[in-house]
Amino acid sequence: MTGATQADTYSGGFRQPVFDAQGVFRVALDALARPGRIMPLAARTKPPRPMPPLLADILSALADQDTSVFLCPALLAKAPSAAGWVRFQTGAANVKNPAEADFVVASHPENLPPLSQLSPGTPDYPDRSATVLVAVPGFDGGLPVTLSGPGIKDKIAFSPDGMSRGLWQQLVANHALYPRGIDVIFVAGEAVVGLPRSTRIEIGEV
Amino acid sequence: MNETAAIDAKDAAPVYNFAYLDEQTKRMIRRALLKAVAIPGYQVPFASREMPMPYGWGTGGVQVTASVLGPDDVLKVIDQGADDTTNAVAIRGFFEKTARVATTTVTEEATVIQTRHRIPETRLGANQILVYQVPIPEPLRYLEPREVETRKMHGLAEYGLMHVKLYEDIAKHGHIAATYAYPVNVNGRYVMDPSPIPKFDNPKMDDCEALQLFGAGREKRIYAIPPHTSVVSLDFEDHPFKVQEFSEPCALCGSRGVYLDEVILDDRGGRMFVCSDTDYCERHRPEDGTAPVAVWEEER
Repeated sequence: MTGATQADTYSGGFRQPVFDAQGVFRVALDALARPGRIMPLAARTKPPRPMPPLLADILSALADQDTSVFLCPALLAKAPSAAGWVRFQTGAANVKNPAEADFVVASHPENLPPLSQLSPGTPDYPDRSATVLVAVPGFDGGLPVTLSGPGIKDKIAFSPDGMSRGLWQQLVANHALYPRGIDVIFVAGEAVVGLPRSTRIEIGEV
Repeated sequence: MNETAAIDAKDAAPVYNFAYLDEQTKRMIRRALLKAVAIPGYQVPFASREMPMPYGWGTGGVQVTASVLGPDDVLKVIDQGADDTTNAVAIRGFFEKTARVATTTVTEEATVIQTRHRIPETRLGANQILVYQVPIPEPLRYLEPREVETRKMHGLAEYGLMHVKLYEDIAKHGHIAATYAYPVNVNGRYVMDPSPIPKFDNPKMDDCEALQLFGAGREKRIYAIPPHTSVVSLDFEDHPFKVQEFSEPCALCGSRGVYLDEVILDDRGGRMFVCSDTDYCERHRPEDGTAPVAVWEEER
């Protein structure tokens, strides 16, 4: 490893680990408790470019030696030191097989592995499932969907950029597995949006 | 701000991490909380820690509170609705010492409310989190003692046994006899124990604006109800769910439609019924201090 990538690996973590982790967690909790709502979250980490900092923030808050992380190959191709950064900053194991991962991380929805490959948990333990952290270019301008379910009063419109119809169909299929299934946290710029498995998704406007 | 709740040098008390728990424990609890929110009513197992208080005194609620609490939070702790009873005072003091957070007794001012066995009378808002202390999280436990079996029953949404229990209540007593820890169905999927709140409080859980989190320390389970989630108390068409009703208003503030505690006044049957929610009661007393203290005595 060269000196430059070592510096990349060892720097850029939370500056105040206790309060940064708490702050990021509370926004993530709020995001999953109120799906489809855009929750502001200022980035606290500086991961190797071009890894989106909010993905690194959420990993830093939640991942540790008890968890495994899958970083999508497209992200690793552009930011090869991201794997070492996540390993050093969180202690989490990097896995090559997305089916084994607690956290599946992608810098664009196109780079996600097929969602059916990810762990949806078991009927007895639906909590033993993967959480997807995915960066989108923005929270508007994409294919509109309508969300309803726990955490949502009536309905809410959501149209993140970069999401294909096929991917939304995979998420509709994911909800059909309920209570099994994966949970998704979208990040863009300085905000996050939660989409737990409990949310009903209708492709199209309200 | 220093990351530990630093103690003045002059008193040699130990220095704790913010909110007592170590960071790895908080991460583990936080991951469980996110799963709990994503699967409303499902009990997520977690590696509950020993806390500096015995099981049964809210160790589950304390661990959940410690994991969500930040330096800007305002904490309220109630025990059976009261801010001034042993459990509430002790836990409030615990977080004042280990997290140095602001505390309050006013429901609207709190961002995190830890509760034992009550939901405040004041309607909760979207900026609030209600943390319940839970003794037995498994609603089926007294019907089926084996965890393997109850887990399978939840997995299959097989809740016939619970309906048989409610039916047997009707056969024996003429009505559903449960008055507290009254089972609910969350989001049309999981049957959940709402903790030993009076069934009077059950309707407050439905479509609530606030996030509700449940922690059972000894039983090592965490579960949650996100805001605006359907929470239905189990019943039958011909025996619909009903909450307790009180014929008299609160003897101190005169409020009706609130949950009242019986207070024994003497050994001759004297008693009064007062709000169990002390904050609500104090703020609803007439301002001129002439509240009719309608102490009523049972006919002797």
